[in-house]
Amino acid sequence: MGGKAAILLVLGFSLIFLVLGQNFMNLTTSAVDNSMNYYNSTQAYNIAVSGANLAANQIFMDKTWSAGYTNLTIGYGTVNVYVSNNTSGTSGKTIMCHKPGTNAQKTMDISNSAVSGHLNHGDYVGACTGDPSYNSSIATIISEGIYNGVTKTVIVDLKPSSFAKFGNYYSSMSAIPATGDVFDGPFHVEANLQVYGSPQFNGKVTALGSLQQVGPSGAPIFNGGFQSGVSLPMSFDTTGIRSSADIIFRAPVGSNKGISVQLYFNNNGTVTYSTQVQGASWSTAQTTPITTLAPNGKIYVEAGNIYTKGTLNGQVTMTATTRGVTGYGNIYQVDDLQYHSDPTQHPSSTDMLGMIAEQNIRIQSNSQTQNKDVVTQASMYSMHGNIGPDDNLAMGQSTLHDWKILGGLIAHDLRVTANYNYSGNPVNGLRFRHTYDTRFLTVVPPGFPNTGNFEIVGWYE
Amino acid sequence: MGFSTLIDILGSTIVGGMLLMILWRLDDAATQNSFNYGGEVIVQKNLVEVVQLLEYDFRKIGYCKDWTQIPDPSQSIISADSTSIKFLTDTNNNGTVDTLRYYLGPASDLTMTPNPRDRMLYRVENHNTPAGANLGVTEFKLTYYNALGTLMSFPISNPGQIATMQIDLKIESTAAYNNEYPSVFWRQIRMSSRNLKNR
Repeated sequence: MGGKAAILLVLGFSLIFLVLGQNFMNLTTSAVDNSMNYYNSTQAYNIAVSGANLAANQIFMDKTWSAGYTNLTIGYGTVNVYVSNNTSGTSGKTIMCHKPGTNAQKTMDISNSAVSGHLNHGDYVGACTGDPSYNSSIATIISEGIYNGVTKTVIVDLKPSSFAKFGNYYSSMSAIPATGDVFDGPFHVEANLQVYGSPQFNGKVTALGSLQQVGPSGAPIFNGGFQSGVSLPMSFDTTGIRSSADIIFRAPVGSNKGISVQLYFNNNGTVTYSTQVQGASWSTAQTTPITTLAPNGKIYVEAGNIYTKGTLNGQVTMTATTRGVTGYGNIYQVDDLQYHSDPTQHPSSTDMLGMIAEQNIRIQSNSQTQNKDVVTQASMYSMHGNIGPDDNLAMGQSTLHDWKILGGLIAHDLRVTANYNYSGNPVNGLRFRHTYDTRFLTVVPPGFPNTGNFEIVGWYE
Repeated sequence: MGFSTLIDILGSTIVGGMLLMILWRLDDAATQNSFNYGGEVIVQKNLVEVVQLLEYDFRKIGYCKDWTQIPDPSQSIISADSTSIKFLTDTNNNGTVDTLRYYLGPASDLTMTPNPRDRMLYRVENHNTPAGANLGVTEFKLTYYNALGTLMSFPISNPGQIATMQIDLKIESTAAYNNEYPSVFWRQIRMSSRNLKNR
């Protein structure tokens, strides 16, 4: 009898321990499962990011790349990368809706040879229903990382980048940004970025070289971030600009002479223009609607100088080239140059001006610019020179006035605009008052030069 | 009934009592272990839930399906301090800019739970009512670094200077046996939303 009781006791306790043990094992297994699920998910995400980075790098190296990757092995997982890139044109491509009805849904322009593969995983031909955002100029990378049955997707949108997006761009900087200097908008220098004290940069700053702090202690203030090792060399595709121009001003073919062109903008949407071939007199001024003279807003002056002022009501980009004739390829601002609708007061303003000079862009010293503030509203691009006032305005006048810029300065080098005392304060000349035109982050003046690279405008993960 | 019978009864009572005490102790230990193991699993699951939500949202700081709606993503963080952050994003990927705010509520919001330290981590989308579930968050600490990697001090007057951030998260069980609260800690160092500085 006692033996049976003992056996029952042992069995009873064993049963209790088994149940408890099983329960604890389940809890432990559940905890490990939980960790593994997170690990798998993180690995799949990392693989998808790697695939997106690989593809983005390929596109930066080859602007027309759209091959993508199929079942590429990364970190014991695989990645499939689909690319929509119309840089080389849309011929031989089909618009499809990728992964409709999922978070990864995206309208893509893919090679005809890849259509069947996309159809096999549930895509359909045509833009995704209710997707108004498709823009054929935007390149898209869709990277799907797979790890232990978990799939994570990263979608990257890239757009061709324009120099107009910069508030300040310099190939080199002979002057050093210092304490008190404020640079508005994105900033790039194709060299080392030297700073003296604590200058302030309100937009993102990029530099080919490193950040070098000289002079007094203190750190630069980067309100939009800083990134080194970014190369964006200036380029000047005169052939492309010329071929897309609405109107070309030039001296008679074969004369090997330069030409000067006056472009005075009127606030009613017209422009008054006149020309002067080198050695001849000015032609009779004519006034015509901008949309008639240059329907797409692109005015090209070959081997010429442009003299401009006025109130622009419309969109224009003017280009001055040298074409081998010395003394030309400059743009001179002879008086205030502003928009009919000021975008700082009216954000929906569509007035937009681009000034592109193969050499310099200057504020001319004359009775209309001396001893007064000067206004410039435009994005300015000087390929081989710099942007600023004539020496007589910067150094010659005895009083201090403001140069109020709304737009961007993209130039080979900086130019001094005023005389400074030992305290670092301007005492005479034109004080640099720059405000970035934020519209240029999304739209640019017609035909303004591209950097030749893409920039990432959306990273969805 | 003889003396030996009395001894038997006494002996069996003592043995039975000891067995009963062992059973009570076993029950107590089993309950404690169940609480601890179960609590640890729960805090781990809660941690993963919170972390996945934070990662999902924080990686989209400055993102909008229609990129023109956020022309300058570097200015996407609207306000930031050590226990809260508010930023621009596109939560449902529909091309419309949303504001999203995370903040840690006071401990007084959760006086009904045994754990005196747990707090609500609120998520507020646009002007909606703050949403949150009691997942046992006892610490949610944000640390910010500028473009030069320098620690930014509070208050942060210009959130545009934020380049990366560190997220510290501690989760405890909302109830525990003997006040022994299981806890887990997670730290994301130098988290950088790709959209914040990509243009």
